[in-house]
Amino acid sequence: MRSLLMINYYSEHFGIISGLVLCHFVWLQVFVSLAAEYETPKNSFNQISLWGGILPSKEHAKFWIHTSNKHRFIDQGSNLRGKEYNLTLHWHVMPKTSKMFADKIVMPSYRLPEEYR
Amino acid sequence: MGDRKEAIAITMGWIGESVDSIKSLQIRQVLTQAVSLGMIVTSALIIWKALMCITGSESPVVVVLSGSMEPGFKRGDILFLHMSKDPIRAGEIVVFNVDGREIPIVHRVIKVHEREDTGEVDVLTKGDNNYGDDRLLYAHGQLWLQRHHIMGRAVGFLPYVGWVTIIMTEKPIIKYILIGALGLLVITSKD
Repeated sequence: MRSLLMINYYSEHFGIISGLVLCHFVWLQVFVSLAAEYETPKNSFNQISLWGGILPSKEHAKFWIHTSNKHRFIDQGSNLRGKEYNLTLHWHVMPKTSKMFADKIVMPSYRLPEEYR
Repeated sequence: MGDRKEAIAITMGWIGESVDSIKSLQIRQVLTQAVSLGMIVTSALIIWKALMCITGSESPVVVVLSGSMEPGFKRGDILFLHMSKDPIRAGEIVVFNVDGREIPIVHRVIKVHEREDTGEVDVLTKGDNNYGDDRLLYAHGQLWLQRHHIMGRAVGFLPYVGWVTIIMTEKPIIKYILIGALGLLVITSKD
């Protein structure tokens, strides 16, 4: 599978620009999601999906989107100030004739600001 | 007088033989049909139980009943589920039970919080086509799903096949007609 990935992070608007190309696959649908992953004293693993969408066909595989996050980036505690986290892009492929499979790309070392605006 | 008695005896004998023949035939046929029906029902149960064992889930196949996961899944699709010890991650489609509701829900994981020491996990789900997350669907006061609420994750699906189940559920008369027809078919088959 060939994938080309580009993500920029705008702290001003928490916007996301994503480009993703999936080739050489015949699929019925691909679900793409962008998630933040981080660690806190209480929970060793935290994962919050920030944005997700379904690509219904190959023609939609290359896309550009600038949006605010669809799901809120809220932790169970008060651990996000200055927190470093990874952004991961996941895709789940649901082929018509075989088992679903998933993969992901990790982009490490993003950081949230110390102060809220 | 001798001839009359003889004739009567012959007639009675013939009648007796006929009755015995009919009785024997009917009993055998009924038994055969009963065994065949039992075999069919038992086979269905065995297949279902085998599926439960293979997939590790109480509910290996579910029918999509609402449009909450459109455009990916529509009403009438069926999903194949699998349950394993693998960690639950955002983006996966899970089937979960809510306390107080009898129908399982198939939605997508959007948040995961996992403790290292206890292995406990808090999961939040959402239907792709729904506006908000699933907290309104959970039991009153419940904010997160835990692992024991989750019955499996979706690993495959077939479109349209589940419409039979939906139609039979929503129009019971069709269900009874169908069962009656199948029953008649079994009873009248000559094998």
